[in-house]
Amino acid sequence: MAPISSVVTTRLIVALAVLSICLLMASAAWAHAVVLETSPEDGAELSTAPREIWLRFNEPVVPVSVRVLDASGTAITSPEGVSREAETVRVALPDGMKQGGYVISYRVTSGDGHPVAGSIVFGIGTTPEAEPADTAASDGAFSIISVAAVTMRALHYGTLLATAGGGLFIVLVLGHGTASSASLTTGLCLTAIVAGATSVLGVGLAGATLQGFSVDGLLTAEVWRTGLASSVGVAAMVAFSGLLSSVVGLALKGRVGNVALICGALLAAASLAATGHAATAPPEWLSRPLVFVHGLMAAYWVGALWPLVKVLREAPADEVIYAVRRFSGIAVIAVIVLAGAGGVLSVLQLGAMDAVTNTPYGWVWLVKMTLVAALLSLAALNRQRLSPALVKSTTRDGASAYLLLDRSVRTEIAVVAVVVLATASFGLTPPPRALLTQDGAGESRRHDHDPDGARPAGERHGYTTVVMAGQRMATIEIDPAQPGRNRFKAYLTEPGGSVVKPLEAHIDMANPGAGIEPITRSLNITAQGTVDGEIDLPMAGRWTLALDVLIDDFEKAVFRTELNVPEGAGP
Amino acid sequence: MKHVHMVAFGTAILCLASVSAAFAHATLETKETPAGSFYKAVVRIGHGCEGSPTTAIRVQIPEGVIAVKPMPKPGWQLTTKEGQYAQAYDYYGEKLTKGVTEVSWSGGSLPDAWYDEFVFRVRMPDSPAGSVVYFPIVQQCEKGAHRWIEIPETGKVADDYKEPAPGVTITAKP
Repeated sequence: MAPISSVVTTRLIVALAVLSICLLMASAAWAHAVVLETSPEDGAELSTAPREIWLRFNEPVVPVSVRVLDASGTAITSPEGVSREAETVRVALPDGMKQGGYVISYRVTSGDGHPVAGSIVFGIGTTPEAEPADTAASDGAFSIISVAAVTMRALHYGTLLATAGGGLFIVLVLGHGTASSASLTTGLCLTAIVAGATSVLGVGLAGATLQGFSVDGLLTAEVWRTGLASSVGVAAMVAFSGLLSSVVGLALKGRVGNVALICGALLAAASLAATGHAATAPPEWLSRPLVFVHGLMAAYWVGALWPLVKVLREAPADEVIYAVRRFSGIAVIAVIVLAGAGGVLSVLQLGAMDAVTNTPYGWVWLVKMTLVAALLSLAALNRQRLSPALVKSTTRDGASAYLLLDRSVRTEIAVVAVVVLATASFGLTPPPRALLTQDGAGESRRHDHDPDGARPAGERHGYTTVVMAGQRMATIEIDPAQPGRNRFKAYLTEPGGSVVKPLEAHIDMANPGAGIEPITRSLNITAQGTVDGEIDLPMAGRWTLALDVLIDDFEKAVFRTELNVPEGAGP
Repeated sequence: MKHVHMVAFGTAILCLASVSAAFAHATLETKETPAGSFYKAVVRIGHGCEGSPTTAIRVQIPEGVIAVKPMPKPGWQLTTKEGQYAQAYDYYGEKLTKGVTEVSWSGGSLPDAWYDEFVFRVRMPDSPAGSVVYFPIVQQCEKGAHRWIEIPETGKVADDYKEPAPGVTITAKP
């Protein structure tokens, strides 16, 4: 690129040349029109509000849509305010424009009939890129929604595990069709309903989080569409079919019922592996199956607790003894597998030992592990002492063994509730593995992209995604991914993993929904081969980004992606 | 910006020579040719880079295009780059595994206001009718460069791009 001053000079000379020729040959139009000059200039910072804006093209153009939008995306000009004289398009501005960022979005047709579109950003009393985000207000909204999301998720996990595990208990421990298992039907249907309802609400909350809305955003269809399109939506659909299968399994007896109950449990576990930090921890081929197994085993254990209490209280002595023995036998294996999978997942998520004490994620993990330790001791107590005592007591009336085991299992239920709550809270904080690699580009990082879990106050906001163009991959980071000025960074790799060091790069940002035509910014290439620069996202909404890089003399690559910029942080 | 000069020059050409073609981009004179035929590529350069004179034209030969013979040009230094083909091509019973992959005319000076052509001959691939063979071209100037290298993505046409690579549409064998 030539220095700015020479570009401007060239621009003027060319403009004059073109202008003089155009006077002779007014109808000549050979290529698309281009903007020669604008007022205000792109990126300008004005001290006072202008009375009008204008765009000067290299040839006469017909304006199709020229609008000025404020930071909320509202057009402040009317089509009647647009006037044209030869190659200049003017738009009258209203009085009383507030401080803040504005966008001029234009679409015109040039003489050859081609549409030409673009956007220009300017600010009044501020840089166009807005003040630092007013985080206090937005974090308030975030925290309400994140508390709601965690509660919802905890309730969902709890009831989902109870339903799935209850089904497993019927199939594996009691036997389908027995009186005891029949007594569980109503309760399990109830947990299934709650699990279904919470999964639906979870979809809405995920959508609201992604869109940056608060709880009242749940009333908009957009939020639900976004939620459904996210991985939470996928998980909810899997969970829903699992719950349905479980309910059908409860209704049907015999082998078909057993198969439906087992299918329900498998789908429930699969739904857990469909979303969340844990399931997407690299390497995914390992973490997803681990989450599945962890979930299935947890379902067996957690889901057995309430049926155990029910059986302890209601069933005849021989049936109680049979059930407790059978449950306990499988539970030993389940707990070992559960703990093993959980351990490996912890290592993947935490990355390093000191993350346990240094990060909020680590603290939540520590709380969960303490509770799990308590739970394991209770389970061991039940298995080693209380269950044998139960077997020894010949009658159930007045036998303290029944009372003790009942109390112990009910304590387990209480502790499990807190463990589930802690597990649901993981979504609130980025796992340390994400923090560790925050500056080490090249690895696909999911956290900020993860629709699961609202952003906690004070956390680093941002957006990370991976985009392919042919065989090449771009890891794109946008920080803070909020209205205003953003830091853009991209890291490009060849299929083999080697770094692409492009010769040139620029990015086009458009918001078709808000009627904003592309804003173009050129980017720097660092010595390490990363592409970075500052980009302007003047308002919230869905932005389409096109990263255009010159790979070598003869080859270009365009990486396209979309970005949801949440509201609430703009000026 | 680049279009400015296209327009300026296009208009100027019209005034001076009353030529009716558009000179907006670096283009090829012949837009289509039968599959497997010999093709005389005439690269037309209608302007410089933002007013700056053109000093070199480099053409990348795409895979499948063989038997490249560039035409020398007085005042310009002709060079070619050779490279391995991705596969062997049959050329009158001979298996060609390598050949010219880039042609370059450099060391000249073509003012922005003038027009010139750069010529080479190739044999086109035996591609199905309707497919397009693109010849990415880099136009180097005293100051700056134009890279006519944009190959349309699916669903787009060359007109959607600022600096499209000129293409030749393959037609059925006669």
